[in-house]
Amino acid sequence: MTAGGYAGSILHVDLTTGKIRKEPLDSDMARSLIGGFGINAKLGYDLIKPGIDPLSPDNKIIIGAGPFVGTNIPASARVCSLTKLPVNGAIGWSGGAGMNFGIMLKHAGYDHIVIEGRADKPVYLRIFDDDVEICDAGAVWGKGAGETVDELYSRYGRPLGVVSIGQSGENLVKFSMAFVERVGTMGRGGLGAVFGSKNLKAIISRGTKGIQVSDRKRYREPVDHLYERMKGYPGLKGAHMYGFLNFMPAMPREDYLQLKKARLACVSCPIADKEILQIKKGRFRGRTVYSSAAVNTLMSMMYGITDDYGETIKLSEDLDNYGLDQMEALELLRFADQLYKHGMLTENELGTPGIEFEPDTIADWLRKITYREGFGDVLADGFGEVLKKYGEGIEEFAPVEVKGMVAYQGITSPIKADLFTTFEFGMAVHPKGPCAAPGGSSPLYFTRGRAIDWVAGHLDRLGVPKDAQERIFTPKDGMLLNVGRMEKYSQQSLFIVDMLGTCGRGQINRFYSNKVQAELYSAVTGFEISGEELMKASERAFNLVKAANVREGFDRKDDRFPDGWFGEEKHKDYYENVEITKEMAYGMLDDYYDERGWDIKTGIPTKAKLTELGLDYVIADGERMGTKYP
Amino acid sequence: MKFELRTYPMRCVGCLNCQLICSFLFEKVFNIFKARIMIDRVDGNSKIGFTDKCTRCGSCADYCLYGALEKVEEVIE
Repeated sequence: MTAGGYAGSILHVDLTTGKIRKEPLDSDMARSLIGGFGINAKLGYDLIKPGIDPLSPDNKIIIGAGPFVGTNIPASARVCSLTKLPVNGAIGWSGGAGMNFGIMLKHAGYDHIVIEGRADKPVYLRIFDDDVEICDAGAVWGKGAGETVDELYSRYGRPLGVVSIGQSGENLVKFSMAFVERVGTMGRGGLGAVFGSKNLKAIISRGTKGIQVSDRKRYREPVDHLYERMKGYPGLKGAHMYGFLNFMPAMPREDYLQLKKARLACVSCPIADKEILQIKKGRFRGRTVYSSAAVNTLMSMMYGITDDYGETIKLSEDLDNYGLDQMEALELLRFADQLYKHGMLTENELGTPGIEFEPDTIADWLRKITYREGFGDVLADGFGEVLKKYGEGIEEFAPVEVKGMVAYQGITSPIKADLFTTFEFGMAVHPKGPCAAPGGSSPLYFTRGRAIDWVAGHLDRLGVPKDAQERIFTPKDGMLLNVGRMEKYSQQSLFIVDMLGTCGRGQINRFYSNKVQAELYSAVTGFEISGEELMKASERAFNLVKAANVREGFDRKDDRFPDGWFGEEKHKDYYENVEITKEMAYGMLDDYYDERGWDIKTGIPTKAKLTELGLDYVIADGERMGTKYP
Repeated sequence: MKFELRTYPMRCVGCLNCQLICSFLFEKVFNIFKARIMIDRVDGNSKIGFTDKCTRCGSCADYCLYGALEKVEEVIE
């Protein structure tokens, strides 16, 4: 296929046989599913056979970069992955910062990569234009995700796109992730372990072919307008100075400026929220640490492990270098300690008398999880497995868990949030498990209590139809805004971003209305599209991923809210008029399914909805394989 | 028009917008290896250089959002 924005090929790599194959990107698939997340969804639905073991050679690693990646559309570097997740068996999408990897992949000539099989020894995949090679990874196996990047830079020079895993991925820790050039996390739910199961340490990309756009003249106007708007954005200077802390003031600015060494940007990003920090005091003085955002290095402080910046940054570096999902790792350790304290785990089983939440002890436990030593081996399988063994009689200290992962933002979650918005609701209903990202397209959290008219204006910008807005704003149970109904459009808007390849941060996607996205897509690709059609393509892709999960046995019973959210302390609605009870939350779950055109009783897509989206083959597959869509 | 360009490597974050717009305007393709401005970034430190083909059009500075490139004044030849 030749069209602007697309590189035109899918790269298939079988690590068992060593066979490498380049397949032309199908133009109909591109038109109906756009790219990035959308085409990943189709590839995943078609290629990941139901019921396979996520850590078997049968599983696929699918990585894609949308049609905007490789152009200069601001903040268009995003890559996204799809695989069957080891932590819970869901077909899990994940978006990630693209850094250089996305653009280098596209400029090398590929929109998507599909990796299957298992190499007989550790390897990495090198993609340099048409020169694609499975290389021996003996020199980097056993190294951390960041150390691997350094080693590959020194071998191949820069610019270079790198996705790598740490030791936790090698050791099949079920909540290990992959990292894009050490600062972009990708694959919450165990993408790192899927890499490890295939003996795949890294993927590197470099492309010298470039990307063209279909209509250069038409393209310039909206892009130049975006640059002008961004130059005038009041938050721009603050973002350049303070990074993400400018929007989420988690530490005093003067403290941050002491630690800041340099800002890092994904290609084409106007805010550069990644960074290099330098520890100024204490036993790690002088150490430089790469971070996805300074705010993320404060996790150990949030858990009360330390109040020292140097210690929390070092622990964050350990977590990232091992390739661990920091939220899962720390929450599992907290839960293990509670099991011990409640007499449900003996000192003999745990190996220590409880878990002291202080830096050296936690650093040691992170190592034990990563290398699966002692009780670390149990924790390495994640909450799903841990709760099978230790899930009885834990009501008093139950983890905030959904689908085997931490529902990390909410009233009793590690990131404490007192409003019940699309962020919190999204924790329960995302097919892969807790994922707040779709909530990011509705800015409720940063704009608490804004007037209905303002929210309506925002929904207009997202392209939410007026009849849907009427349903969203119909008062219910004392709430003026129905988050369950709004969730559908938040999810779809975020997935448009992931289909096109722009950044998911609210500070970026605020510039991209549904209309602007459609105009840019039309100019870039030459495929004329309306905002409404873009929204429909996103809905199509989302339903494909949902259907892939229905095939795996997921349904309404899995879309649940943590019981702890309905204890003494409760969320309030957006306007802080009422407290959200369990009945209200599940009432909104009914509304979410209804808005999506899914069956309320089972929580799965109806035949009518699948037909409306042109997904009749999903119905036919279901009939053949025993999945009945109502 | 030609401009005298001033560079501030300390402000560069490695977004490569300058290389992208340069290759697009002059080569009609987004390809950082065809740009007439080159950013060499290692561990948060940038070096900014120009190839002999650079016409000092200043578009790279127009698209730099970080103030790492600045059009100082028009050069009249």
